[in-house]
Amino acid sequence: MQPKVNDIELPEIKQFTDIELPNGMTMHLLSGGTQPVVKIDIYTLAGTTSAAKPCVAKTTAELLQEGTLNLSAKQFAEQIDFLGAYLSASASTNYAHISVLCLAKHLAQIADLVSDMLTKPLFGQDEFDIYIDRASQEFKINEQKTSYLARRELLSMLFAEGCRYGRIAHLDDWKKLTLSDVRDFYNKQYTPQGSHIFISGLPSQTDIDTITAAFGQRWAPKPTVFEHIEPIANHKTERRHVAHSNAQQASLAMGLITIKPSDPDFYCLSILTTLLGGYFGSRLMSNLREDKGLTYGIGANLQSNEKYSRLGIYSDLKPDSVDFAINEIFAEIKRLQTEPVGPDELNTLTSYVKGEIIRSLDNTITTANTLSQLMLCGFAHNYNEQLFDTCNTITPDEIMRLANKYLACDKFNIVTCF
Amino acid sequence: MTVLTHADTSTPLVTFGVLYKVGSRNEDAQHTGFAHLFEHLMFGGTPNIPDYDTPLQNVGAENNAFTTNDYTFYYITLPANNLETAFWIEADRMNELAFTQESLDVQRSVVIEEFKQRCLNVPYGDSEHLVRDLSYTVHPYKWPTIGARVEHIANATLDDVKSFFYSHYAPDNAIVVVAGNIDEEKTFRLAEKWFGGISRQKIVTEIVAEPVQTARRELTVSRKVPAKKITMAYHMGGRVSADYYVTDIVTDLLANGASSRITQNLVKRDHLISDGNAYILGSVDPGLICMTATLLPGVGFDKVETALRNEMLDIINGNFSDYEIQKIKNKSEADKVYEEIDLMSKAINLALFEMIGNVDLINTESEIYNRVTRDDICTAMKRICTSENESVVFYNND
Repeated sequence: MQPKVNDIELPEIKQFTDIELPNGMTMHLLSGGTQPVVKIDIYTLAGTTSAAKPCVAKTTAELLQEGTLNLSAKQFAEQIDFLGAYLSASASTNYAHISVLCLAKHLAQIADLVSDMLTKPLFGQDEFDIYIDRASQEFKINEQKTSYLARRELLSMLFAEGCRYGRIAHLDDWKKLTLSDVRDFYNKQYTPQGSHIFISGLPSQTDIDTITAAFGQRWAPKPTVFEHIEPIANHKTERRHVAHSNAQQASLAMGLITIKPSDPDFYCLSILTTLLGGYFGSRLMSNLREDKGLTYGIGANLQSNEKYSRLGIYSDLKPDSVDFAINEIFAEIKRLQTEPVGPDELNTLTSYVKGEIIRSLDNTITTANTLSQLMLCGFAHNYNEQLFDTCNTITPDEIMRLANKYLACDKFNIVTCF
Repeated sequence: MTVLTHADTSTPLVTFGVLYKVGSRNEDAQHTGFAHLFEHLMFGGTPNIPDYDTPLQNVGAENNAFTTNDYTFYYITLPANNLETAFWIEADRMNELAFTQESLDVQRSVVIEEFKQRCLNVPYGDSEHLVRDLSYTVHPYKWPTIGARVEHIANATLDDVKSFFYSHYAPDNAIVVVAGNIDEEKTFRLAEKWFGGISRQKIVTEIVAEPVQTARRELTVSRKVPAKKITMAYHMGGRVSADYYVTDIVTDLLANGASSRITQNLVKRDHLISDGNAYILGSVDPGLICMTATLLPGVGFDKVETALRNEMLDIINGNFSDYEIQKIKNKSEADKVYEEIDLMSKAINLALFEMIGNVDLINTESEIYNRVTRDDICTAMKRICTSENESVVFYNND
């Protein structure tokens, strides 16, 4: 006999302790965990939309790891590896992100190395040339992937022409990039103003002092005036096809620009998106995979930042099933708009979402990742608690209302690639 | 059936895992990809519980599974107060499946689309197929878990499914691991309650051994890809052999981290390749140590093959420093700690170490790495990296 189903309860969520550093940056600290590790995550306003040209933000972030004024690229890599640390640097839409995970006992050395890389990068010509060759090759390989091409095309269609949020790179952009582009971008954008540093794990008080000196004192503010680049949504919608010469499968990408996380409707929209395509039992997975076997997977998700969210639906399937799949997706959306969700399905959905909230807050490192993303993307500080409460109060009528308000079928841009 | 528990009161969750000691290693050459297809069918419901996923979602659980060459792992992560639901549902499907033609038909199509998505529709997606097929002649490591060919999946019948279930899915072929916020005694009582009544099947596993390779093999293929790629593979021992530890250290020396030899020498110093890697399969039966590289435009295969071989010769000849060995040992010490952060990775590791015969190795394996000497490395690599033991795949871009 089936065991009793117990209510899902939200455990107390740990919150960051915020410490103002001497250079004006805020340090967000989440202490705890069972393992002697520390993770440092630095976010600075040097994402792709901060750059006037494509490829500059990504190149600048990734080249930070290629040596400092004190250490050659090889010496720097040797030291990081010898201490058993994992270091990465990348650029997303709004932020450049430097991340390092290390054993707590090595934190002092790691903090010095990462501080040097952030404040005194080498940006050597040889390292730059090698980087561009590798990045161009990676770019060419990506351009052979139908899913990459479909998603890239969709992104460009969601924003008005010329808007940096929808800008895509071409091979030529990699070839034209120069080391001065990188140096200029670094000098302008990499500054503690507007930056955040997140520390999670088990640092000692001495470690925190070391981090404060490394990032809060040695990193001096610059007289930067940030440009405010606004995302401008494209109000036209269309369907495009990207031709691929030897595709064995078609990629489908559909999407629209919608409300930002601070909108009161956002909690319910997030649950609605999960119902449509955010879990194994979702409408789209049930229909297109489990009922019809047309695809290995189909998903719908919301990607948010402070200013907007992007709702996307993605799948890979047989080319001759693409039109049928698009019709089924719209049929599922129409069902959400016209038929109230039954009580059993609503219970399954909200129980699953509650479980997801708890899983996203398991262990200190994971919790810090979740909370930092929420903070940087403009979510309320009590977003998880609010979403959990919404799971208990959301009604079938509310879901129907939002499906009509936010999932209008004629607002979707559609890309197929094969 | 073995039951392992790991209590961790710092988490509100439990991960419940079931490892079945069956993977593509248990398939025959005419029915490849079957263990993985079968994994999909395990979600098709039972006579008792027709829908597997919904009762789990109702208690806040997330579940999934993956198949490797050696084993199949099913897992559920859920709030700790609903642990018993995981026992109920996993014991039920270990006992019996529904076996419907409809579920088989749907999952065959799903898996064929998965095959295309992973292997046919991405550049270099069939690399693993080529390397395995060239390196092995009879052992089932000759094909990847997804299967050798789409047709094998398309041809699977309901009778195949039934016989596979009764030959491999039984308590005497399973390891259950329960990790998280649990009371260990209570957990063992639950295991007895839910799994205690399921009968053994007397599992028979007969796998044909791979004969020793006696001559170098090579294969050249041409595909529509932007860059040439080379893979060199050598036979080595299995997961519990001394080879495993030595080759794990060697592949780290060659390719783990930005300071590794292939990155520093072939990517940065000689400017021959855009990316390189070295890895071991880490399989239960004798596996492979591989080196691979994606060539920069204008560079020929011969140059890169020589350069990779020279990297290996440097290891064989002992041209590496004690500092480098210490660096790799530091890395593996740190990795052991990082693996203990996440509940799921702890659960998987516990089950894996039990599968290879000694769960205590999870705590003592670092000592084995620490005991590996410079001589061990040179001797083993000299034996492994011979021309007769080598298979090379040239992935051409014409």
